[in-house]
Amino acid sequence: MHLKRKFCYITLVVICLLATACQVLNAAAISDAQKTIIIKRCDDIKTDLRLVQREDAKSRVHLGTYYDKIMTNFVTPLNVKLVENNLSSAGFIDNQNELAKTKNTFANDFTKYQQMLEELVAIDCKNEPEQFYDKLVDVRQRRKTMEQDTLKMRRLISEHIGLVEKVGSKL
Amino acid sequence: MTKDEKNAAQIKGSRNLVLLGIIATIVALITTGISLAIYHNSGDIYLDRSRPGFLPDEEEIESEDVEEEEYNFSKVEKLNAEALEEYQKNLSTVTKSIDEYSDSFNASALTDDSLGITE
Repeated sequence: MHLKRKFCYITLVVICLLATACQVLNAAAISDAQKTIIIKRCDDIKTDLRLVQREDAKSRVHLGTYYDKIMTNFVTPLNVKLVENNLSSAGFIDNQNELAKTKNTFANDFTKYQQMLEELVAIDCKNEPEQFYDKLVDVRQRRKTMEQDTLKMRRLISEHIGLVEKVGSKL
Repeated sequence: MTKDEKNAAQIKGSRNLVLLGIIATIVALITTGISLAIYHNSGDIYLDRSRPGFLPDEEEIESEDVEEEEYNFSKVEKLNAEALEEYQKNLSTVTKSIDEYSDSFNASALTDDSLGITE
């Protein structure tokens, strides 16, 4: 029992040390030359970020519309029809549920991503280049999540197409 | 009613009118603030493309103007091979549109190179 507790304490300390080390490494990820460039090009970088923000909003709106269309005009009515005709399978239901869940995650992740991007643009990069770069690293991570969401949606749509092909061969 | 009483009533009336104006303004400011907070926190602001700097391109407006009859599977009465073929055909049109945005959130837009932060 005593050993167990000791082990827990040691693990906790190691985790804290690792977290601190990660933070230090993250903060040190920016070189002096990069710091100078950020200070010098601060306004241009912010203009670029606003352009990215604009393009992302465009993608989000279009992708969201297509996802909605797929759910409302395709997946849901087909599944209803399949149930009526006793052709439905667990695969269709699971796929529909997963699609709905991922669509919501995509929407929520986009809001978080845009909030972070907004915070990044609000940072005074002329006076706080390090803080700016740290935030940029976080935004990149969040953008990666967005990319993963879109890839997952596409994979699920492909899965649905595969299931439809299987049913088609039975008709 | 004497002249003094009349004047006092007039002053009171004007004061009440000013007070009403102030209260109305405060209520309007509070409700607008709440609306803006909801608009921002819900994430709707990021989908609003009527904001300055986020307006749609001309091409997008043109493509939106072209009215196409929207396919909806629920309108199909019988489930047969033909209906399913039509379904797949229409679904592939939407997936093609999705694929046009396949690179939307890739890492390249925020790299050091693309933002010009390289040494």
